Amino acid sequence: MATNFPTSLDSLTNPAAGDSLSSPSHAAQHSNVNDAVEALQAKVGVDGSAVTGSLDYKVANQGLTLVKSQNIIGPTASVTVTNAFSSTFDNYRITVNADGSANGIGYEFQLGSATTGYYWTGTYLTLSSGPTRFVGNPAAAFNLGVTGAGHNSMAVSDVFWPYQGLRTSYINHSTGAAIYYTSAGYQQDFTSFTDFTIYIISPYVLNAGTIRVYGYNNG
Amino acid sequence: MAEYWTREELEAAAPYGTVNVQVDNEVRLMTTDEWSAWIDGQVGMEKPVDGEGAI
Repeated sequence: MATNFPTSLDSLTNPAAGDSLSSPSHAAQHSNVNDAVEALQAKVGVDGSAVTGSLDYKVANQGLTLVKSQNIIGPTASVTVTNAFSSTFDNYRITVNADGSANGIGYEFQLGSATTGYYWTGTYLTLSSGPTRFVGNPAAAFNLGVTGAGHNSMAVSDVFWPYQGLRTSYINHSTGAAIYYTSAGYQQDFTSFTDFTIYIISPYVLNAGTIRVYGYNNG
Repeated sequence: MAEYWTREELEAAAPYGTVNVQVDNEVRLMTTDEWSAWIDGQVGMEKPVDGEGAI
């Protein structure tokens, strides 16, 4: 009986204590187990498997992969994260946990050395007002929302195609000091970016926190 | 009533020589040009209301 795995589960015959070596066939018993083990190995895959149906390939090529984790060494007005984007991934997720020197202070991020041409639109809500529309048309950076003092500022930005030399787009969700921000847009240049910089408006600083960059696996 | 930043107020709040920038794990002081541009960016802008929206 050749194995049916992984199409279906095998139903193997166990020999009883008094069975002869010929019934069930001892050789067939070994053959069936060998076939089943080989089918299992094929399904699991070797390290770095390129077989798209193998579990090794699926684990390595789905979800998010951490590219870089950068602590904010405060007090600082800006943090540049180098070599964040590459040809390895098309799209990225950036998470920012930041402790600002005051509540409700705007902070932003720039791609590479591009200081113009950021077009985006967004809304924000406070506990007592909103939604309020705000735009960068154009702006000097993508919006990240506002900081909160005491590590209550979090931003999640999905960045699309920063390395491909196409227009880079982003979608951001963030909260700081119980204000909810969301914004989305693009940077107009057809430029390949590897770095980005998060900065806070003067005269405030970032005191601490962590910036993480993840790549979206294409599998 | 909204209040707006003057250059003098911004400079007093974050004097030159006190503000850092960070590149990966390296931290250095802002250059004069960087600091001046950073300050200029908020001259005439509305001052934030600290704690707005805070729980």
